[in-house]
Amino acid sequence: MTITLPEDFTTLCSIYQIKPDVFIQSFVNQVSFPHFYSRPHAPDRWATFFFLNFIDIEDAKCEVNDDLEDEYLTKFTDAISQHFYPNHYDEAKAEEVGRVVMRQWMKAAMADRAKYITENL
Amino acid sequence: MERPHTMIFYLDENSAITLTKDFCVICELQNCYPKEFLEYFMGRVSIADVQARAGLKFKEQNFPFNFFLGVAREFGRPATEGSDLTDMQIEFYQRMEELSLEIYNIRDLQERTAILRDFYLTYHHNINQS
Repeated sequence: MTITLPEDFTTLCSIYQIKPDVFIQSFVNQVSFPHFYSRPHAPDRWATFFFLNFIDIEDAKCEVNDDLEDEYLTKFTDAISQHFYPNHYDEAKAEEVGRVVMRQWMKAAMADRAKYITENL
Repeated sequence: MERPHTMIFYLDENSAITLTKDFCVICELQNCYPKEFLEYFMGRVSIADVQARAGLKFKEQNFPFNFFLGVAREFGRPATEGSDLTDMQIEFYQRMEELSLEIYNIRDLQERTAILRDFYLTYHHNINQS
């Protein structure tokens, strides 16, 4: 896997003395649905916004099972909102249950893809 | 069903909508009242609905809104406008972009529309207060 670093990016990295890999690492660390949706007012949500924008714009390039997406995103939102009370709002717990649903979604998506392959043999 | 004989709808004492004969005739042929038709049409003009649909990849488009936007742009303000936005406007546009992405996890069309409608209404109230 190789990434091309464009001029403007490397220029900025040089000026501010940031190692490109450190920067990219901190970016990907922020890409998280459980974190994003459990902390609506956190300042570190930009990377996930970027991700959401990406799947919005580059829709054709992302191959996702829409039915599974609907099912698991709804489950995900329900799970998180269980911990969304005005008075005792448990961010960590919300993030945790959200992550559990995301893992289930990934498993379901993998199983769905495998099914597609075996059916076409 | 009795048809309205007049071609003019009075909105209040000072303003009225004049309908062309062509429009009235086609309403007659389709067996619907001009009032019902206009109400339905205007009821569909909703930016909240359009955004809610777009995120869910709905194939069905909101044609009344597209038509509305086409007319509004055609007869709209000159293109030079828009350079001096207030802080509130900038904040509104930023939040608008964020929100349309953020509601990705809401898969129910009604719920999405409600969130967006609430957002636009709040802004509408804010600009009317100040």
